Amino acid sequence: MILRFLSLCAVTLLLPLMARAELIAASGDPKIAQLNPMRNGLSAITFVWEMPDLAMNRVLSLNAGLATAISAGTADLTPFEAETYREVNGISLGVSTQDSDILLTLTAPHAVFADALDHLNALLVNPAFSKDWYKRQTLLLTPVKATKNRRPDHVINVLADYLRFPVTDDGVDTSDAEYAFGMPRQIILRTTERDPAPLIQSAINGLPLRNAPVAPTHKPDQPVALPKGVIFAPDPDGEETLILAVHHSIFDDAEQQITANLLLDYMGAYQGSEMFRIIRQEMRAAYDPASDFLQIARNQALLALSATVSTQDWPAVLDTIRNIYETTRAGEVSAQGLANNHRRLRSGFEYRFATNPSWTAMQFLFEYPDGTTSEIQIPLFTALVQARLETLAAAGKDSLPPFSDYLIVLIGGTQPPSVQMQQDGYCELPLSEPLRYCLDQLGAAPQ
Amino acid sequence: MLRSIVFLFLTLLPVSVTAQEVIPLKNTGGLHSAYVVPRNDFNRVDVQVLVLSGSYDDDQVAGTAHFLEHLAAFSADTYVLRQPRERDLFAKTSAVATIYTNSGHPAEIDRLMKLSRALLDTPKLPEEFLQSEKKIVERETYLRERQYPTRWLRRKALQNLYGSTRGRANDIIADVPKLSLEAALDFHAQHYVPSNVMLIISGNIPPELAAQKVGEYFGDTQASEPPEKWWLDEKPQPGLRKIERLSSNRLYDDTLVYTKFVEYPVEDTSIDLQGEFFIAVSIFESRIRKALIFDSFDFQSINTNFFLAKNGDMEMVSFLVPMPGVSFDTALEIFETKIAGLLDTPPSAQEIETARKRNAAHASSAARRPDDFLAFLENVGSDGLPPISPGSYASLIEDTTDAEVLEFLENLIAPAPMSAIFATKED
Repeated sequence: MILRFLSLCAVTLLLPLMARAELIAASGDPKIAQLNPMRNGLSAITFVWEMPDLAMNRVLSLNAGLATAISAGTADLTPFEAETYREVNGISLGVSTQDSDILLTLTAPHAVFADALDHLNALLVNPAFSKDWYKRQTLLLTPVKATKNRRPDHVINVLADYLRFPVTDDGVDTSDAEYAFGMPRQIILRTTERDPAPLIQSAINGLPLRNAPVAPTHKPDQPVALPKGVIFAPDPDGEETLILAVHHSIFDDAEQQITANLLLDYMGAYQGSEMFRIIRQEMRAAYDPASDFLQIARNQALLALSATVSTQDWPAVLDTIRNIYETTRAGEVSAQGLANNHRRLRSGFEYRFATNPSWTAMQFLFEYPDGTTSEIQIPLFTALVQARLETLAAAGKDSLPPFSDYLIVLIGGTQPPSVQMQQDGYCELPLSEPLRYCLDQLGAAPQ
Repeated sequence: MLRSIVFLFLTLLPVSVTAQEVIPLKNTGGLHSAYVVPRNDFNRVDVQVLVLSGSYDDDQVAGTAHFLEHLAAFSADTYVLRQPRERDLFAKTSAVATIYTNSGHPAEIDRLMKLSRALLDTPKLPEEFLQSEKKIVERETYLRERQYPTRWLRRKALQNLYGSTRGRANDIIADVPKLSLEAALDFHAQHYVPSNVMLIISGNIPPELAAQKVGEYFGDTQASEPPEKWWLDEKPQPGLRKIERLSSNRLYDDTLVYTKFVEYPVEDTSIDLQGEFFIAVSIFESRIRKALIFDSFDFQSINTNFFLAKNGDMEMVSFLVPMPGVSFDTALEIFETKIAGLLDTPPSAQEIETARKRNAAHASSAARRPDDFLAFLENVGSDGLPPISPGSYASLIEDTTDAEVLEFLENLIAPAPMSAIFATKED
């Protein structure tokens, strides 16, 4: 109750100063979760606010707004002095989004964590909001077109944004937007402090509440599906074609997701993978054949396989990718290879859990989007630890979709897909257009 | 309200960050040098082989050192993966060094040392594989070219700065078709000689055991004449001022690339300048950022890289993205004016101390992550100078005087040969 009392006192003081800014805040006390301390000498806190609008232009605006707010300095420190304070103390701030939330994560060495939380609080209660800084942040966050850098991870992230924020622009001009950030709806803490209540109190002291909760607009009612078919972005100026096969999978449970993850890793993660062995070392066709498994929500992930090849080789390499996929899906995997992948996936989870507070907060929010007052369990972690490798290979067909369900993205070169390939859907992407141009055209997006 | 995850993980992970002493080893055969950096907060051992030659040492065809990196790495391992691999190859070619890292559990030290020692042997792989690895290097080169426009922007700026397409500058895209196995093997014969190789063993290993293993695996190597660093004698024309305009649909933003060449006098090597280099560069970047990002809004972003060669030559490369409506000419004028006036108010003792603290915080951060820790060791070691660990870095910057920092800064902002690229984004 003391948290609520202090917060309400501060509302009275601050509201007049924020009359023009849109207040991003919860309408009640935050839910608090304390997870195991990190193992790298750092402590961390994550503030979670619900985004009021999930149209892509509004999400970008809000991201720029939060980046602006935390760059504004405090009542005692100019913006430059505040940045210097963080640099010399090893304090970092990071902004990310997760489902319909925007997250701010602060990390700091244990020894300065308490001071860092005071600093975080001082940044958020400072009502200064620089229009110039916001304009710069908006430019910096403008998405790079997938046809520009042709990096598989970038294309996958563009697709993930499309699934999460299918409405590109709601028509609202955000160029003059202004934000203030008040009480978060959730706080996730990673610290060695046995009694963290005073720390949390210092971080949220004086943060205002909303009068009433507001449900986010433009949030998809159902998970958006990626279309099937082929997107081709021809480019005569280039020797390379990026092949990316991608599928948005929704799993029944954590066990099924871990099975899919491990089998996809077997296909294309690391230098022991089938894609590396066959496409790079035997065909000599690509430097970077790889698979990616990007979890985007609870029991949802983007599954991708990619390679960048000499433009005339893409049909043959795509066939090879298809063969590797279907063979693995049918259960033809080596026990040793699968064991290697299981060990690496588990050690990757361990390392991120021990060192990456944003990733851990994301995992927590996947499972508890509205927080919890009961014992915390992350089924995905348990499923990974308890995976039964001897039966996992046989579950491929239940966990992975057929390759014919994948969307194929081809960027670069001049060799178009065959007429037969185009039968499931086809869109030619001009280099000057974003990937959404074709996703919308292929009919995946609800408008 | 508070709940904790009781988790099954967290058995092999670091608990704390410790100081890391860099201990030179003796009885290392003909090696240039070898060091051990013990730390027990990660339960692993990393063996870094630094061949003290990199892309700047390509005297005929750019990319040869990189091509050889692929061959040597696979030769030391296996060329077709008949069995699933449990480890990845980690190798990279930088400007002045080619670096191979073999990592594993402390109990695997013999395997890591064998893999490291094998790099000195002439690559032995089937002829067809050796030849066809050129295709992979070609793919990688084109891939990087597309994915990271700063690579080719930097290359063009350096070509104009040095008036050359060899050594500190290169023309990698033009040279890719000229890569040859013969040239790569010649490069190996010249550069992968013990006297041109540094070994750094770090991690959870007693120094005595590291010394024993170096003697066991490298004690038979013989010293020989290391290759010459001919490119250290190639410098820009005095007073050079060159500006090139270009446009490309590969760019994300309009970008101003600014390069500058500064010579620092050294008695022997630039190891004596390392402390003032790190502190002065921190002050330079901080003051420029304050002027261009915090106190005005003519730029979206600025990023600067510095390379200090072992003879005291320094290359500065800045990438500046102007705000819409700010022309390249105006952006260049603003940037150069700010640099010229950077020391109008000399840095106070407190500002220099702040720069020391900023560096110390950076070092502490690097010590927390295995990859950053290894990169830290490589940084100075790549020039053939004794490596600096995040732990030993603290005393280096504490031992540097304010006067030394100020002198370094004055040289940095003085007029010097420069080249700039005005690169316009096309849609």
